[in-house]
Amino acid sequence: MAYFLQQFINAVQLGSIYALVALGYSMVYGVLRFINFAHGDIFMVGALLAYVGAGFLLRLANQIFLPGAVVFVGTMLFSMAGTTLIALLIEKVAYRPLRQYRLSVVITALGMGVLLEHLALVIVGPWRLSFPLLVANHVYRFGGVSISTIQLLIIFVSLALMILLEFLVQRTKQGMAMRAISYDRETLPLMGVSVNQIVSLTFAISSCLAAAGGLLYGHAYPIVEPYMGITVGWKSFISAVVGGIGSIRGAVLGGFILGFVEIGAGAVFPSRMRDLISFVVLMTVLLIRPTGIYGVARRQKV
Amino acid sequence: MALLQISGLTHYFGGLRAVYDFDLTLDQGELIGLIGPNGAGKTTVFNLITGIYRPSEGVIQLDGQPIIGLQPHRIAAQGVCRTFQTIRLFSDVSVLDNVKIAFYSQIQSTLLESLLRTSRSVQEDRAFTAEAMRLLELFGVDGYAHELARNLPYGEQRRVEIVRALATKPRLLLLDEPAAGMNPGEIDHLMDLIHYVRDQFKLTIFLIEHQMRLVMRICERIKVMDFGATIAEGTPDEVRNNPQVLKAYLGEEVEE
Amino acid sequence: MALTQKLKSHLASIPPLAYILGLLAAAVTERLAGEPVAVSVGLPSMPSLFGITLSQRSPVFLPAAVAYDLLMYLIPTYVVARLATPLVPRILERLAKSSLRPVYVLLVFALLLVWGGYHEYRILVLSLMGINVILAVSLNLVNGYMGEFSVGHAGFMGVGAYVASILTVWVFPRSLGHLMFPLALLAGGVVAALAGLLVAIPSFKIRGDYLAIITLAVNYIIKNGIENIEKIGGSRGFMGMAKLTNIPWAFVWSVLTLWLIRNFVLSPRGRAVVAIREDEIAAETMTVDTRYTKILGFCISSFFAGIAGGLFAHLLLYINPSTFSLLKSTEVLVMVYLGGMASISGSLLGAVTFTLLLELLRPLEVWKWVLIPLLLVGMLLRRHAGLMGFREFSFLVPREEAESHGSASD
Repeated sequence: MAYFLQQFINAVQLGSIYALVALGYSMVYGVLRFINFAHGDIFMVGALLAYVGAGFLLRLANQIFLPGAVVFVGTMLFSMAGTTLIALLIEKVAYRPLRQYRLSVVITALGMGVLLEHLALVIVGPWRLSFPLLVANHVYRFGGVSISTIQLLIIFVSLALMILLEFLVQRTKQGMAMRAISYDRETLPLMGVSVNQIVSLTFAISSCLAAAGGLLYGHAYPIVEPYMGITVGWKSFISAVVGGIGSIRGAVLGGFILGFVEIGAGAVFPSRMRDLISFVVLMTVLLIRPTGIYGVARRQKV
Repeated sequence: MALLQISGLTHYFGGLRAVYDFDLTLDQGELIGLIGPNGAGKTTVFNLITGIYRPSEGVIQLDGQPIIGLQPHRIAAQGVCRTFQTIRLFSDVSVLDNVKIAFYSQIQSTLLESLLRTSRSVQEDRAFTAEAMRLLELFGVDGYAHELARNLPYGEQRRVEIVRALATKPRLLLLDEPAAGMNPGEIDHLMDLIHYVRDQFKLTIFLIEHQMRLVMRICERIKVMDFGATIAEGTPDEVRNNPQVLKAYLGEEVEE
Repeated sequence: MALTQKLKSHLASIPPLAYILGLLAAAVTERLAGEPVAVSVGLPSMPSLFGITLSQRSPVFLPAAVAYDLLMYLIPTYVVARLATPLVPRILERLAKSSLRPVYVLLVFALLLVWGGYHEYRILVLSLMGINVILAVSLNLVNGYMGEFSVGHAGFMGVGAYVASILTVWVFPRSLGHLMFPLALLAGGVVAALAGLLVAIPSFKIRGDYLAIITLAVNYIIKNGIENIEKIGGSRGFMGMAKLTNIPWAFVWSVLTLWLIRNFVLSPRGRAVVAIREDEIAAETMTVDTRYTKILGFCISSFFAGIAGGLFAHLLLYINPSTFSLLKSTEVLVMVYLGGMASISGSLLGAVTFTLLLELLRPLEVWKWVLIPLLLVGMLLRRHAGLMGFREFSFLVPREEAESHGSASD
């Protein structure tokens, strides 16, 4: 029993991170009908920037007193800002001009991902960095089940961000515009909404979420390296698709499903088969229900 | 035996009933029309006959053989071809190739022969080209043969669509709003074209149309649909004066 | 400027056949006198790739490299081409029309053999080029002609690589190496074609982005699947292959691929593939069996990817699953998009250019993969369908079509 509870907690933790990154894929697809294959590497950039920001703030904290929360939030904001800037740059220079050419823009995305990975390699060197912990790690034990403050942090921060996102999408004007674009992109400008602005906003939000994911991931698995975008990125992508790409709820659900599948598979199968199983799950879901769990099937009029 | 026999055709899209209890008997050589307000289910009937949708209920028989459940290309190969409400030519393909694609069911050379470009396969391809050019010439669009389909003016595109459909050597031709976007002069010309096609190619023609000018003058029989159900059937004169038909198109008369 | 115009038109007046003969002559002279000439201009030894890589590493050699290229390539080629120009019409008269293209192919083959056959590095580059041509053309069949978006081509390459390697290392007797090589490659191709069904069958109901995701998943499943089979080395890889891939094999297989796929695309079934790209439902209604056509498209494509994989394995002599990951698929995608969608000439051009680019940028190491995406985006911004999108070189268009209209050829 304790074992299951422990695995449950682990799965929720992993799933939260996948969900955060998956949201980025889903939102961009929802608004642009375009799979941003570079998103996983944006996540990696987020982790890298968080590392840099954390280093700076921690050194600052040695000289002037800064409560842990400030350091943490400061790092998150720094990482979010930097990641957003990079993502917006890519969107403006590479995606926007090619937007009408579906196939060209997807391969551009793939190329941008490769670019980011190798740019990181060039700038920082072949790095495997250990992430500094910004939160004192206490482990609470209840009868065989242990849960650390870090795990709690991850889960709560993720949930907080998701709730914030839900509020943004459902209750604000911008959120309404984002939802409207996903239904009908042509008419929206006629209503006085700038499609470009909404697209930029969507990219900004998805990058912030990815950056937060990077920061949290760094706390959970303290080694960050340039190819982490590939591993986490693809799992999150699978999450988004399984949940129904384009749907926010789907991304969250998909993220947790994948977290549970991975932890569950890891308990039963040898660890090297974990990725294989995740992909088989993806294939199966796609074959049965291509639009994912929450996806809306688009009926083509004949 | 009737060429096309439909009975009890019914189709639901989820909870929406698009076609209800549709019956039709078509004999070889007839020219029948299907009319009704927008959304009445006319194109759905076409889609059901050509196999794009599988009907919820009903029977469709071609030459006495049931065709429900067959892949659309098999139904097409058996001689049922159609044009579409919005022009669906292969836009980035030349006009000539648009027509040649429709010869698919008539390919004799094997895959291997095609891969090796044997003289037999080259000859067959030349024969297809010649036949396609002949058809295009009949309709006066052979000059556009090497032009991309999307570059043609609207009227010519419509004609190419008909040529392409004829290339499949159909016995039954379904025309979905062939007169869409045409002015009265063009419609007269279209009427002659349809008669010509029916007589020259020994076809049976079933058409959907909104333009009464065309339907009333060309069709031997007309069926009228509204909200998925058949509300009238008969000769043009019978249908023209049918009160149900008037109500469907013009609405109820307001009591003064 | 009048001078450059005059130069251009003068160079254009020399027929291609003369140029090929000129290049052949240059290659022969290089083979005979390359090393002494290189040393005499100040280079350490004969440069492997026109001295470009050498100059990148040590820019002091740049003037010597330029001198070498002039002496060894540009001048002999031009001189012999000029001399051959008056002879060309007479040669063309003698040759039957139908043997013109095979003659060109043979001459190019001879050129590649003479230029590269004695130099390890050149053999490697030319073989890679051949392999990349096969990969690019086969992927273009699905992405360009059929209009799908397959991002998992490397998976099929991996299947072919492993099957061919297992056969030559464990099954076929070593002594029969080159004799059994085509058989091993074909076996790899066939198994890869079967793997292609994993994508073809879902494509009946699923299209667009979702099919792209499935191709991705298949790529990863193949890669992860191989990683999990300990018997063939798992993630440690597989080796023991003999170096069976050389310029002749690479050339022959790439020419074969170009020819077969070009024939297919020109045939009625090939036109059906394009019809699916344009409008699948209209195609069905016009008697096209879309399911069969999709299977043809995907399986022919993955068949040749498998062949490329087998050639690749017997060139590098070591393969492991991570070679056939998304990065490799992306490389092939870049070649296809760079060269041009739905263009066999484009894939040829893209593959050759990309292979050369990869080699020439090698000294830059990691920066290579920063530059390439930028180049790709830059190119796409100017020509969104690629360099030769939807167009073909005239020598690839069949005679009849080239005679009736020249509009589509270049």
